[in-house]
Amino acid sequence: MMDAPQDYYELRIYRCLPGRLPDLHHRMGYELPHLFARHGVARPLAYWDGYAGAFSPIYCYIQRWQSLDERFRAFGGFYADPEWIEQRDASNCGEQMIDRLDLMLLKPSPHWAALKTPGEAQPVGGIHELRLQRLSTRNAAEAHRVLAEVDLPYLRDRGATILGLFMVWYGWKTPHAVILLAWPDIGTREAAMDALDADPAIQTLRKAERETFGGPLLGTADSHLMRPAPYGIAHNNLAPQP
Amino acid sequence: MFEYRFYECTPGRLAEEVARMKEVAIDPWPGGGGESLFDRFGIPRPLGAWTSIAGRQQPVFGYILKWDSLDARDRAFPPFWTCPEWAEVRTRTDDGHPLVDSIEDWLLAPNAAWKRTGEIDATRHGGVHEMRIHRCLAGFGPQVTAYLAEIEHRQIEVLGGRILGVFDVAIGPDMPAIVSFVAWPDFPTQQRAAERLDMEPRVRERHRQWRDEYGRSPIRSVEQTLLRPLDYGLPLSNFGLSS
Repeated sequence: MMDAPQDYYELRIYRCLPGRLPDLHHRMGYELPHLFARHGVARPLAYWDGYAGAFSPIYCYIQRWQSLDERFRAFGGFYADPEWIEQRDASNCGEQMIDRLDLMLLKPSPHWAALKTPGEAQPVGGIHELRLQRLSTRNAAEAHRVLAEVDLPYLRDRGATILGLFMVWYGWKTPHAVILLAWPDIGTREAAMDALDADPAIQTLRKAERETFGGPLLGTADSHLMRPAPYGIAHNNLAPQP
Repeated sequence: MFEYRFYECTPGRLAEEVARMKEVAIDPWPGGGGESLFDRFGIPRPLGAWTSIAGRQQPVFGYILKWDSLDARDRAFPPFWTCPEWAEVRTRTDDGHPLVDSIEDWLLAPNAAWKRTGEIDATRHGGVHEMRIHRCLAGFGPQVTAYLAEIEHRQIEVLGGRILGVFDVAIGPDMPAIVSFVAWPDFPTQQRAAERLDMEPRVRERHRQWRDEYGRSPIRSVEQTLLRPLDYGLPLSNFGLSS
């Protein structure tokens, strides 16, 4: 029996040591790509650093995999490669760049397709935002739907580009939605978020959700504002880098 | 690869969660010819299952599974989650309100400090278990692994504990981290050992060496969770794996 290829996204959030971001950019953008390619490690779809959020500085990248067995094989080969070890030690210059790492595996939300940007794949500039959105345990499927049918279209109508919408598969509390957005500028983002918060129609809907489901569908979110790295700016719908 | 799933339970409902898990994972399913519902979907029996006695996110129920392929895992688990039998169990046992507040799911890979020596026997380990999570400075996994293998785990065994398994967190939060599962005969032994471990000269000596060499400890923090193994999830020595 042939199985349809699965779709996984791997999101890495590194907490960096102060002062080492430029070295980390150099490693990720220029030192690693050929080593990743050698071992079949998926080429990242986008790289960022973060400049506001629950902890900073952060450095982030996302990859797409069709098989987790393949993912572990590829990274296993990469980590064992003497050239990686040599390069890592050389560019670390005796000190680490990374403090710690949150690593999660995601599956695309079934609602992402309806939110995709039409047209050619092209880099999306501006300010990007990573949101880790807690959802109601009892009604997780409903919460995913409301997020995709109410909140995200509302933000899109006010200037956001939806880069990706995922559900946590491994490595983080579930149920949780992971959202990647792009904003043309910080003012647009502020105005859109304020509008969502203050809109009487949304407030009425939230009240109805609480009454129907015995509590809020959407919980709190951790938000990181991020800057796309020039060597790997996210394309719309996280299309592969050319 | 090992999957460690832990469930933050609604306070007051841990026992119901434990019973629900037994019903689907262990007990023969009606008409299943002795097979459990998990068996039918190709989900392995847990190598260990616990509730926590002390630690964060109380109350917690957790279990560990071994998979030869994660792709096979994703062919087995999702059909279970959407089958009518599980829907019925879940609705009935939720009894109007969910038993679980959230689930965390980590992937663990065997760590080099896991020696898996000693007899592989049919002994199932009860008593009090401890999950020790050593969070490491990035790049210092090998140093912490060596310390665990050469000093800490040896001392734990001298002090009456048994190392059940040692893992690197492969996918999870706050990495790098090394997870050790220890079986203690009882709580007083664990308590006495914790105190003695802290004063142990070889432990102190290694910390002094680290300070001299790196200016700090490669261990960022140690998180200890005390666990009570469940009757249906008493782990075998070395989780039943040979070297």
